[in-house]
Formats: sequence, structure tokens, C-alpha cells
Amino acid sequence: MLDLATYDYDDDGFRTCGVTGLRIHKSAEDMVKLFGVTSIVALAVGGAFALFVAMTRWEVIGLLPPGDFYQYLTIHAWYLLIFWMVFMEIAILYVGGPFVLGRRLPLKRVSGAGYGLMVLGAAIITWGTWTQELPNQAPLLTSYVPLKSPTSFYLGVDVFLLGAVVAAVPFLASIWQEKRETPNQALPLIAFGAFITSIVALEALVGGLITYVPTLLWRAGFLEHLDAAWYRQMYWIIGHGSQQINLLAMITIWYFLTHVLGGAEVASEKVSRTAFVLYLFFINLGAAHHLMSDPAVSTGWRMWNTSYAAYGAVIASMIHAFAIPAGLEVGRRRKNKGGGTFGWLWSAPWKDPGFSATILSIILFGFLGGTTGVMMGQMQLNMTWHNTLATPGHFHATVATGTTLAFMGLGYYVLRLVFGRDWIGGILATIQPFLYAGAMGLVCLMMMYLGLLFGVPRRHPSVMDIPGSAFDFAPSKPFFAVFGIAALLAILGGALFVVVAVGTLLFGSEYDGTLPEETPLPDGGASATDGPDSKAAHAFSMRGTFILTMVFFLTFVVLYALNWYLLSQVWTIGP
Amino acid sequence: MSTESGSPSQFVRSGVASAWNALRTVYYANSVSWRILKAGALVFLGFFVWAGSNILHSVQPGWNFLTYPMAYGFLLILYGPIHHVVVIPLALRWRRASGVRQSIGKRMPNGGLALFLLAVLLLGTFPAGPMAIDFASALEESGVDVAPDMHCVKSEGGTIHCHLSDSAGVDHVVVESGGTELVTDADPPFEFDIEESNVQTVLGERKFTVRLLDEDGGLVRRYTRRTAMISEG
Repeated sequence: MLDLATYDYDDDGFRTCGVTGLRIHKSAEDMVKLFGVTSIVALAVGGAFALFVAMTRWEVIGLLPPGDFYQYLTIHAWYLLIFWMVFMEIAILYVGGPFVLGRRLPLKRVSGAGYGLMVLGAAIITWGTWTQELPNQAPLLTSYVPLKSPTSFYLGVDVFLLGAVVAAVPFLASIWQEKRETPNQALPLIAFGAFITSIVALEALVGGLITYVPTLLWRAGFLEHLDAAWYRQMYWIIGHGSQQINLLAMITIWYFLTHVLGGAEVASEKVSRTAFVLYLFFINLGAAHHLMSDPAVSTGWRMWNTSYAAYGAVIASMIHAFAIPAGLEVGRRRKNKGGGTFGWLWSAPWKDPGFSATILSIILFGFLGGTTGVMMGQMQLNMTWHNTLATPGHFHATVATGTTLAFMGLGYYVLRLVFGRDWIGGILATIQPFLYAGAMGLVCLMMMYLGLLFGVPRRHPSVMDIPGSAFDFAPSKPFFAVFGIAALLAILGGALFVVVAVGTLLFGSEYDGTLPEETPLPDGGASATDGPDSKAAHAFSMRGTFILTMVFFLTFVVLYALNWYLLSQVWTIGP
Repeated sequence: MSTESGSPSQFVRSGVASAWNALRTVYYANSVSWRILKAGALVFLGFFVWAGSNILHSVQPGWNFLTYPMAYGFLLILYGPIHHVVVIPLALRWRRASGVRQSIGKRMPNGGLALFLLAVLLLGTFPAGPMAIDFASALEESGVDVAPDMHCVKSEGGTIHCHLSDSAGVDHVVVESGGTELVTDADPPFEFDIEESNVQTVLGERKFTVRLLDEDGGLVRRYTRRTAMISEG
């Protein structure tokens, strides 16, 4: 697989990318290929299992019996929430580090060992889940103690997490080397974003090991007892922390791809860097909303984490939400790519699936994933969201639309710029992001409606006939129908990406290096304002971005008010 | 305000004109990607307005004006994509033709919008079909919630005595352990005894299951009890 690339290297093992201008070493490129392709395999497996999960929850089909549902859901969750994400994130670290800094990948054998451990861990998790029998339970993602899952499952998780930590070491070494050589020079924004991502990742991964090693010892019989409340609090360091890695990696990609493909500049380096630093301190505290219905945490703990700390993370997201489209607007206005209010936007290369996937990722993450995350992350509103289908609706909006689309966008350009192969499929590649984003967006919306408006619970294979209950979910059937059809289309859209990617690797012609825009700057656009004739970024109009941001805020305010209003209707206060 | 910008009223007028032009440009944007983007955005907006109005109407049934945004959202899901994927591209193509086609092309977008708004008014005034969902009715119209408490105590001789707090809605009770039926009780108020020695070990624990069934044999409620957790009475 590593020989599928079409590029030649100089005697030192470097080549210069004709598109990005980055000086890339073979050692880093090899590992990006390895991790990138493995992640796409994980996407294919997880996507196939999505079919079983969605077609079971759509009870008109009712594909799986209840006994199998949790097992299939477990495989679906681990392959898409963890393996697809984390393998790609390691690739992103190597792009953000050695690629952007023009360095060879240090400790390549360590990287290889990390890869091997991750693959081994994933295989053990799969085997443990697939072969589990009573008294073991399918663990899903949470594997809450004291429910017992196979010992091999916990072992696999430990091996996988250890592998991911090991695989991150070469990236950190490259940052270390860079700072030793140029101590007074700031890292480029992309490398800086990747560095913050790696810190958040290590927090999550080490937290995961602190959780899962004792859990393995408990399941293997070396520890007699493991406190369920301790487990839940510790688990969510990795459980939600892993998803925060996705967030940071995704935003780093947004900056990178809008620059490379759309000609974006960085509107303000300081502001964007500040937003990354805010994430470093506050984003992992967002995990607290998982414990809002638990008895073990104090009111002060809840209030700090779901209000004060949450504001730090939300402000960071708001900054990125403005900075990225503003950078695109400034960059395109500077190049005279469209006038008026929105000319810069519709003159953009929408036929390029790398670009459209990135922009759709930004839109859907913002409107569906981000807004709902803020709402359900609040102590009070969480009561109406907790354990309903709206919760998976939220994280599908963040992960399955936002992050997955960003990773797909990056995947398209890994195929072109790393493997040197042009996409097969023509129009299919062009429509793929639109098909996937539209359908997956509808899936998320329906899950949120089903959960919030009808109270349909998550994780249950069937809800239409709950014995003896006064609950009747029959009125939700039309929403389930839209959900089911949209899920089929989304799976088709995801499969199309895998087909284009694998087909490109095997049959793609040599990529000639043309882009819809002129060659971007290797520093991410920060130096566009350095020349004597250049105009500062803030001197360009950003009115289009301002209007879009106002539309976003208005939507946010309406959703926020509606959620609070509905909460106020749950209980009548007073006599 | 600088003199270059003119008076405040001129500033506002030019701002409104600029916004209107921007809106028209978005409305007529006609590349394939933008048609799809606009159609998709309207589907999402339609779902949002439709579902939001319905849920508000469910908790405030007196707010009858909500049937109009309900109708708007519902029809937008259906017509929004048609307008931007079919009507506007066709209208722009026909405007370049001559004769009747050109005439139709010039009027088609506004005509489509007028028909759409007329349909919104009609459906808003006479709400019917799947447009109106009453989220509140599910609870009110369904059957009685059968959820009695089951209390069990253990005697020194190893007999476990159980009874239900309420027998309404229950026809008979079946007690099982490890796949073996221990007791069937068809007499309200459903008090029954089982011997602890007959309770089998399942997944490492001695436990039994009590199923409450209705007169058709349908499951109403199910309780599982571990003998180790039953207090001695």
C-alpha cells in the first residue's frame, strides 16, 4: 500500500508538494498513508453496521432481534466513534506536525509500534464483542461497571489506547525538535492547532488508561470491587474526551483545507490561537453533562462544569465559527474572487468534494451539532435530553456530519496530495459530500425530534410496544420513516466515499497538481499580510461572514428559547 | 456619520438596498451546487418551523395562529427544493428564449411563490392530515399505566412470600426461575409463596422472575428478584 504513491523523493527523502508548497519527508508520508487508509477501512466496517442499527430502530423493518442489537451497536460505535476517528487523527497529527514543519517523522519505529498496538487493540475489541456470551454483556461504548463485558474487551481497549498514546509520541517529538531549533518562532497555526489537539488527546487517552486498566483488573478478578460512580466519572474523560479530539482535529482541518482549497487566509492569528488555548482549558469539562443525572456529583461541580467552564469552550467555538469563514472571505476578496456580499462564497470551488465536504462540515456542525451540544450540556436543559434519542442525534451531528465530513474532505486530498492519484468517479465524487451531508443531517434532525419531541429513548431496539406502559410512541412513526430512509441514503453516501477512495487508490490516474485556486502558501496564509504591498486582513470587508454569523446566532437564540420554553412546560411551578 | 455616507436615512436606504440585492443574488444563484445547498437549507428550515410550531401548539393549544407557520414549514419541506432545483433554473433558461416561454419564464418564480403562499394560507386555515401533530395526545389517549409495586419477604424456613400493591389491570401472574415455572396465580390480589430451594442459580445468582399478564396473555410488567436481596420478615 505504501508503494501506491506516484511521487519521487530526493536523496534526503524529501519532496516538495506542488500544490501546498510543503516540504514532505517520506517517513511522515508513509505513516500518514498507513493511518489514513486504516481509518477508511474502519469507516467502511462501521458504516456497514450502521445499516443494521438504523434498520432495527426503524421498526417497520426491525432487522435485528433484541439480543443482537446491542452487539451490532457496539461494533458500529467503536468503529465509527473511535477507530475511524483516532486512526485519522494520528494521520492529522503527522500532517500538522512533520508535514507543516517540513521535518522527517522522528521515531518512525515508535509510530509503527503505535500503529501495530492500535490495530491489535481494535482486533481484540472486535473479537471480544463479537464472541461475547452471557454472563458478559455487549459493552457498547460506555461499558458501565458493574455490568460485565468480556475480559478480552477491556484488554483490547487498554492496548488500543496505549497504541494511540505511543503513536502520538513521534508528533510530540517533532514539535520538541522544532522548538529546540527555533525557540523564538511561533508554530504555524495548523501545527499549533495539531499541538493543542495532541494535548487534549493525551488527556483523554491517559484518562482512558486510568479508567480501563483497573477495570480490566476487576474483570479479570484481581480487584474485587470497582465503584460504579468512580467508573462513570473517570470513563467520561475518555468517553467524551475522545470526541473533543475530533473537534480540535476537525477545526484544524477547517483552517487547513479552506486555505488550501478555497484560498482562505487567517483573519487574526492571535484570536484563532487564543480560541485553541481556551479549548485546551475548557473543552474537556464539557464531558460533565453525561453525569447530570447521576447522584454522586455535587451541585457546585455541576454548575461549574456546565455553566462557567462551558462558556470558555463555547466562546472558543464562536471565535472559530467567525474566524474560518472570515478568513475565507478575506482571502477570496484579496484575490478578487467575487464581489458583492456573497460573491466570494459562490465563486468558491463547490465542485471540488474536498472543499464542499469541508464547508458542509462547518455548516452542519455549527447549526446541528454545536447548538445542540451547548443546549444539552446545560444542567437544566440536559433533563429533557438525557438518555433520549436526541442525544445520539446530537453526537451524530457533531461526529457523523461535522467531523466525518471534514475527515472525508481531508481524505480526498490525502489521495491527491499524498498518494498522488486523482479521484475516479467524476460526478460521483462531486455529489458524494452533498448526498452524505444532506441525508446524514436529516438523520440527525429526526433523531433529535424523536428524542426531544416524543421522548423516544436511545439504545432500545424497539419502543413501539412497551408492555403495560402509558407511553405510546405511535405518533412518532412518520419521523421514524424519514429517519430510516435518510439513514439508507446516508449509508449510501458514506459507501460512495469508500468506493471513490479505494477505487482511486487502485485505479486512479496520476494527479497533475491542478487546483481550482492558485497555489496556497505553506504557512496557512499567515504571511499574506507580510509583503510591503499587502493589505492587512482586517482591512477587507467581512460583511458576508457577519451576515452569516448573525443568521447563525438568530437560529441559536430561537432554538435556545424554544428548549427553555419546553423545559418550563414539563413541570408547573406554584399552586 | 461621515459626510461620504450621506444622511442617516440614506445610510439606512443603501443598507436595505444592499441587503435586498444580496438576497436576490442568493435567490437566483443557479449553479448545481448552490441549487442543492439552497434546497437542502429549505428542507431543514421547513422541518424546523413545522416541528417547532407543532410542539408549541401542543403545549399552547389556544395559539391557533401557529397553524400558519406549521403550514409554511410543512409545505416548505415539499416545495422549497422544487422551487430552487426546478422552477428557478427553468425560469432562467426560458427567459433567454422568446415568445410565450420568455413571458412564462419571467413570471414563473413569482407565480410559484404566490401559489405556495396561497397553499400556506389554505392549509393554515384548514389544518389537516400529517401537517398537524398533537404531541400531547399520546399520553392522554393511551391505556392505563399498570405499575404496581411488588413486595417480597423471606421467612426463616426459606419460604418467600410476595404480594402486589395493586392488582388492577392484571389477569394472572407467572413466576419462573431458570426457565422453570414455579407458580401461576390467577386470583387477585395475587399473593403467592415460593420455596427458596426451588429458585435456580442464573448467571451466578439465585433469582426468579415474576411476569404480570393481562387477560390476553400479553405482558404487562416483569420483575426480577434476587433471593440474596430479599429481606427476612
